[in-house]
Amino acid sequence: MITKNRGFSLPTVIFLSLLMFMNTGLFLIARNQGLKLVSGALITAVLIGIFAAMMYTGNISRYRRIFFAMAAFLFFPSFIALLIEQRGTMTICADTAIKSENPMCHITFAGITIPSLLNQAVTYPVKISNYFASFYSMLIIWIVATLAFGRGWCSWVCFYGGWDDTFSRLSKKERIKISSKNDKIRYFGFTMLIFIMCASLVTMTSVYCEWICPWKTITEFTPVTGIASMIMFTVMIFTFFGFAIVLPFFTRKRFQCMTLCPFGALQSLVGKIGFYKVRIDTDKCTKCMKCVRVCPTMSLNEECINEKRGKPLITCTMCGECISECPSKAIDYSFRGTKKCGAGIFESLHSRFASRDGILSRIAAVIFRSCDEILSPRALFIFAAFTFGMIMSSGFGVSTVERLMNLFINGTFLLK
Amino acid sequence: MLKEALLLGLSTGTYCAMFCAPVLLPFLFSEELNSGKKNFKYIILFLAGRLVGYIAIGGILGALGAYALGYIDPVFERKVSGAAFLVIGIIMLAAGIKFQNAGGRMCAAVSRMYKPAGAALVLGLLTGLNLCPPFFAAASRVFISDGGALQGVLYFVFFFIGTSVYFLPLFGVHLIKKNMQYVRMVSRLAMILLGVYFALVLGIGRLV
Repeated sequence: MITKNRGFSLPTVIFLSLLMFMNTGLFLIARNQGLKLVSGALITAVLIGIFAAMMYTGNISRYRRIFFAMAAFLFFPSFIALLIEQRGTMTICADTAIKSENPMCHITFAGITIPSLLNQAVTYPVKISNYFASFYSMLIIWIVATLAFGRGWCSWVCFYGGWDDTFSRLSKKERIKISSKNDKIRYFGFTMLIFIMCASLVTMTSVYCEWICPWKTITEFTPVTGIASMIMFTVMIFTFFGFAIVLPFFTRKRFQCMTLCPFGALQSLVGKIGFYKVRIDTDKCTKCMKCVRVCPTMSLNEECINEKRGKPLITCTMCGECISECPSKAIDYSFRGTKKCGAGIFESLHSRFASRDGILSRIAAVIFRSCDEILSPRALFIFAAFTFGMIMSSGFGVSTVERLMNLFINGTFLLK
Repeated sequence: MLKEALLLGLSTGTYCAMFCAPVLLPFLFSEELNSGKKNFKYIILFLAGRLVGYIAIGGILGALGAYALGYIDPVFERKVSGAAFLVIGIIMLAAGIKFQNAGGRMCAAVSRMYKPAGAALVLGLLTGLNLCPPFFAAASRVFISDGGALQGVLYFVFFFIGTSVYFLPLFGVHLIKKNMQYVRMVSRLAMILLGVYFALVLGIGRLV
């Protein structure tokens, strides 16, 4: 159930949207020209529009999903086109891998970091995407993102997660029911993490990329040259269609992120150092269990609510579904280590000026109210997460739109 | 020469830990380690297995001397390693299946046959036979020196002592108490995946 009154006031929304435009949107427009300028402006307008709508209506889940789906579905066309322009094919052979021409993917952190450190060799200096996605740059991005919003990465930044997130919402009802008590499914991601870390240590390769990764289907994959590569190819197709499309559709759960992704499990563990968390106000909670039913990662169960833990389980991706669904507004983002969900710093000042007559008092009341809203954990979290998500995926989005325009005008999707 | 073996073990022990930890850690976490005594027992058995493997290899290489060169080739190494991983995989698979309450005949049969102490010993022996880079360095030193079986055994014993230092943190595994039921559940499932991967990809894949 969506609640207009969970949204922010218009001045706050305008201020934050302008800020968002200056720190991300401006960069998509200012340095571009021609078709890229048009596509940059288009993507900026759409994303800032989504952000403003999310803040104004307070419907985090709906607008986050739209944003997330955009990030996912605009990423792969330009990535594939980039591969074909630079390499001539989507397949990656051993030579290319050895020359480190493949971009670093954040999912592989869990598998390759320890072997790389022990072996004193980083296997991803990268050529594609202008050396942007190298091991070290991705490592820095990851550390900053983890500090900022922990496992929020999986619902706001990861351009792969948008696939199962979208398919998990296409069906109106759960056609296959998974009990919220099923710990084996809920924590299977940790099993994958242990498996990937151990197997990668023994073989000194990224076992996840070789054998499991479903996203190779829409990025780069090993050509089929023998029985082993045939099995790898089959597993890849199975995991992509099975875990990113079919199972999310039938279960309404983000199956790939929950059970296959080792990075998600890693984020669950290290995400505890993030500034923000989702908090359940046990006094307001009516135990209607709507949040349990709607959680796409099974991070809420009856025990959580009945035992008054006041927080979801470790696997929470801070997607905001429960926040939007809660009829008693008992769930919200909060700063780690505090029990308060709102900032409340300027509340008394706002009340003082709001009760007075006169235009100046009204303006002061509006300003103090906005300050209070801007400093609330919800506004700060959404702003930080959305900014990060936009930085990570808008470049590919701009490129895809530019290529689409090029396709209509010049008849080719490729730019070179 | 023995001092050199000890230093070689100490300096390259991280590699040994890299090869052994993926087998030993899930094994320890999947077992019911109610006391430090049980944890200690399993680690000692695992290390004893490794020591037996090292002594055997040291003795054979020392006795063969320069003749051993004829056997140390990539194909031979691949086969030995493949066979070791096949058995490691089967044991890990059995360990993982044993803990699943599937109620089927297979689970019951595996549960009857599987003994954790014996598994720890065999896993140690097989990881000891796994020809990792530090192992190769020690092996080549033994057969080049041509000092006989005894010297080979002693060299490998001291090499073993050097590498075992990196296993010391594992003696504290039983101290982890928080959320242990979940750690155990996750480790047991991981044992199944690792078992399948080791047996099929690193085992059969290297043998055929």
